[in-house]
Amino acid sequence: MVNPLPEPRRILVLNVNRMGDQLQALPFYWALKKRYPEAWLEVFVDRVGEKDQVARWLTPPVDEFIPLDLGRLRPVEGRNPPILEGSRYFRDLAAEIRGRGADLMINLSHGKFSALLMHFLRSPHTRVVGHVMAGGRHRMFRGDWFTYLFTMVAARRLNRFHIVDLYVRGCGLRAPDPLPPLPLAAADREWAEAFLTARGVGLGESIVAIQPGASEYRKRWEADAFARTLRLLHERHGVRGLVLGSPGERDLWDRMAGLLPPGTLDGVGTTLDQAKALLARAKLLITNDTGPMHVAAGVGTPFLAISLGSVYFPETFGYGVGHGILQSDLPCSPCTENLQCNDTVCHGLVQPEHAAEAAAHLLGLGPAPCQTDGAFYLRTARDRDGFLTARPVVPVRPSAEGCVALALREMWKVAFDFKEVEAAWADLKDEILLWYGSEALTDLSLQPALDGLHDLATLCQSALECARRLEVAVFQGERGRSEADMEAERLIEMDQTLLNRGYRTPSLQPLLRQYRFERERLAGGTPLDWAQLSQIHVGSLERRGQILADMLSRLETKLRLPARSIPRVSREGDVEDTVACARV
Amino acid sequence: MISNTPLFEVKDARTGIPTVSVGGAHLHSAYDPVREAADAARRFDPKPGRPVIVLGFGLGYHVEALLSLLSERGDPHPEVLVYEWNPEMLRMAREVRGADGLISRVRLREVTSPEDLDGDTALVNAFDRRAEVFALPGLAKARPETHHRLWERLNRVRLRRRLARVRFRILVVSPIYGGSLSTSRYVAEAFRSLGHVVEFMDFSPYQHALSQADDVTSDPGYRNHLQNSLCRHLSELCVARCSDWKPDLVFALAQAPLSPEAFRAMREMKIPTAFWFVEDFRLFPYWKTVAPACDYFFTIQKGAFFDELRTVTSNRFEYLPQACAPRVHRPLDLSPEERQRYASDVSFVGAGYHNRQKFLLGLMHHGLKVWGTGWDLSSVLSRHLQEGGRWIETEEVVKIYNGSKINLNLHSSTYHEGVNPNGDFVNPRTFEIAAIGAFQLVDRRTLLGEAFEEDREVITFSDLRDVEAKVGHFLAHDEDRGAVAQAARRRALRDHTFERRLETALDWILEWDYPRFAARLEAQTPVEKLLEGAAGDAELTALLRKYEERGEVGFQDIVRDIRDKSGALDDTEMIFLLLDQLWQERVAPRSGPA
Repeated sequence: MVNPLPEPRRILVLNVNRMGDQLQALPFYWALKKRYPEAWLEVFVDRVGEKDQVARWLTPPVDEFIPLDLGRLRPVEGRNPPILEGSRYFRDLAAEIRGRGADLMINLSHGKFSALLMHFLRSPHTRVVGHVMAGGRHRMFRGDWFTYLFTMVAARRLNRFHIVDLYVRGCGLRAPDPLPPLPLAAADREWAEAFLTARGVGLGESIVAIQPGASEYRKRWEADAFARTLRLLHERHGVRGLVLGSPGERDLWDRMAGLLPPGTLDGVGTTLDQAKALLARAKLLITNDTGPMHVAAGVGTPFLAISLGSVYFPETFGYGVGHGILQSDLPCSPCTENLQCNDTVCHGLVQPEHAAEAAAHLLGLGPAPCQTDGAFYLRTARDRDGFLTARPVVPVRPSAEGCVALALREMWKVAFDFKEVEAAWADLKDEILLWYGSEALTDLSLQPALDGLHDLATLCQSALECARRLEVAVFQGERGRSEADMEAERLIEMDQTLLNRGYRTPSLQPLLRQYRFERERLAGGTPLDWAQLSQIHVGSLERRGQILADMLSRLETKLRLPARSIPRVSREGDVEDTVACARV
Repeated sequence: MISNTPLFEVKDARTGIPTVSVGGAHLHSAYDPVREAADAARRFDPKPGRPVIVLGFGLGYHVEALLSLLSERGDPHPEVLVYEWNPEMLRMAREVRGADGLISRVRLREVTSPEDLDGDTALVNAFDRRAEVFALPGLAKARPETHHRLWERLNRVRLRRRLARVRFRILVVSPIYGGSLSTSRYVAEAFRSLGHVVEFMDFSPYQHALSQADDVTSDPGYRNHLQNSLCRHLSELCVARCSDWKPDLVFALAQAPLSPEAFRAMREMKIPTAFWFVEDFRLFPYWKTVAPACDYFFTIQKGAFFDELRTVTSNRFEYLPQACAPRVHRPLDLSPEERQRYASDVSFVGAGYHNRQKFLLGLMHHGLKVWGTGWDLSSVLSRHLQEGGRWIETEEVVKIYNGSKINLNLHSSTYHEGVNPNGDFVNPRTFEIAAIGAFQLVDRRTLLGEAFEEDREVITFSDLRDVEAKVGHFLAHDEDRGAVAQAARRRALRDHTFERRLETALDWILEWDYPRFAARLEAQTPVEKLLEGAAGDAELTALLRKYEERGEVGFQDIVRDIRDKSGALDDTEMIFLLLDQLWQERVAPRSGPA
């Protein structure tokens, strides 16, 4: 168990992001509210214009949204930031926020600006969780799971956690299951019924909505692919299509017009409330990773997320179980942050045929699709520890990287949540079988990862011995001065060697990034602090490496079993029988 | 009509007082020059306590009105500089208006052309105290071309003065090894001491990597390939740093590993580049590639080199001789042990070039000590070679210069037997020995006379017989030696420090390209204006007051100062960091190489 937080009376969450990110964080807000029902929960909302909309949807659990009016500071290319206006604005903001006296502040945002803002706005008695610039100068992450949230960015292919779970666990909480649905106003519900009736949609008729828009081109599946998917669903199963989008996305409808099946409903340009009501009425949403996906999850409508470009399947899907994901898979998936990709090959790997089959499976109208070389189909579920996950319905081709990722997932649970190692091994074994089946593992070698871990263990041993010698030398005072200097120098060198190992062995990256961020807390300490805290951090690194190595070597030896049936996973996480494949 | 000249026509205005016109266009009003001048002065709205620069005296009505308005505003003795370029106009003003009294109340600057404004220190001083400019009311209409040229020159002077106060961000790029490596360090230090923000790209740690190519292969093709790869990598490092840090100027030293592609990339980023070629152009022809690639090229030679440069580039180039670093090159009191080790009657420190090996043979009987690498150990001269001909560190070199009664300074040559009769550039050693206050005998160089006055500040020699005689004389006359050495030291500290040299380089750059750097001024805000806006905000006012003397300050200057500071940050400092970060995250996204 994680140390529980002291009972706060006022909690301030900094989530300086788009509306979709606020919606995504809703389970976290619920978790906070459930755990601290008496506390006043306030959340920053970046765009002033979005405040009312967000407040209408997310209250409760949030008690108050505080607008961050950063737009008024008008940063303009080629000009200086407005010093006087900025000074006035931030001073007023500080006076207000400090006056409110939040005793817990949580930063969910990644950027340095948010970390600086956390430091700036906190009062001396405020406890801070998440990303903060300590003293305005040194980046720090408070909380193991929050540290992990920021380290995983460097090795996203090895991450198998949903970021909302990281928020939740970072605060020592559990997400409520089931989640209360997003509120739906009667007027909006009536409007949706009237909209559908006016267009000849009968009561109970199946509607499949699509959301072809997305804020960023890398994660935007082509509009014609969405249209072709709808057409296939219409031709095979007679479902009615509904196209959703903001008023600014009207051109998408125009581009799809000739490809859409007859009778497709035009829901482009509806308000967010109306779109929510339409989504509540739909049987399924096929969507890019964007705000409406979270709305669908919020109103309990299953979605099929097309996961491309910068999006990676475990991280940001709408929080809930039973949803579908089609993940395109290339060695470069997901895109590095800020990368400008001129060759979005990954978009072509998800085919409308594949998406239509997956959608039919989610609608209960057909079997699960086979996995293809470039894309695999997953369904979201909750594991035995309460973490959300996405698993393939039909086993995928195994990879050493995938095995390491699943082993890392269990290892982090052991490290941060004190899960028993044996229970972790049992869960890992089941997960591996669910992902890959047993037969294909026989050709797989985890030896390179094990070699890297062996090397890491040796280095950790040397670093630990060095830190111990440094500690002894420091205790000897002046007598041990020269030895202490020598050992300190050696420890610095070993530390660098350790960190560099991550570049040589990619599977070590997550362990070493975590170690790096944890040991940043050492900055500015005395040699004694350094010697003692190094032992703690290197000790943690060594232990994590050992757990991982143990699991991987067990996989190497014990999972090479005779062929057997391929299991599947139900929503509850139980292992079930083989699932038939839609295509061969 | 009262009076006229071939250029001007003076006649009575409607109010009966004299007015003047040029080619039919009036410099003062034809109706009421006094009222016109009073109106113009009010519109100009002079600030008491600030100097005013007046363009054109005319008949002086506007000057009178200005003085009267300033007096009303509590400034009875304002500093007013009046520029007039036509003596005939002044004569006329005295004649028709009896303007002597008025002229005595201002500082009249008679110039022959607008270009004279450039060198006027009174004007520069006035701009330093935030002077404002007031023009003769009819000047723009009557003499549009003169008016335009005057304003253009004034703006140029004003901008350059403002730029002189700007803290530029300068990226100094060192070579991997060689003589210019220490020069690059001195350059970085000097820019810092001039108040600029400097980042030093020190490539000396790559010296081992460069020489490793020699260890791993004897194939010259491979060796070149490996060394070029390293240089390309370092060049890219520099470009990446520019992309990240966005300096106002890149200042590279000779042998800096910057490829033409790197210069091109920096140009695309709109970052100006300067290259100080502290080499002999006859021995190192790579200047043919660098000079056209960089924006500003500085040399230690001129004459024939300039002729050659004109054939390869139309870019800006200028002569910028070597210099000294007084923090390093300083008088020292040597301990007895150090005297024992480093002192001598006559010494030479340097590499064993061909001409030195030959020349010094003739001076061995003067208790000669030779220091440095590359000497022929089989020569009889090797008996005078100190400590096995090892590499001598700078700090030791300074001790040797300090300890020698006579420091021989013979510029290198690979083919002369002694003094190169056509030698032009002055080596760093000349400036260094001078700054130390040590005595030197230096071989005659054509450019030496520009740096030091011969016979008073420096003693030269042209051949062995000459040096022989002078060594004898100066060993026997301590006071003569001391006088020359002290005169040289005074001159070096006044004119030949790296600070002075780089001020000159920046002056040249700003002279050549001031509009380009003027863009930097757009980021500058008058501190006075900021202080007005910050009224009521005690913390911000306190922070801004630190910049009051500078007159103007840029947002980034303040942010840099905050980042450089250690210790806890207060709210105001945090606000600057917040604004900066917000700007970085929302306005200035990074982009890597294409």
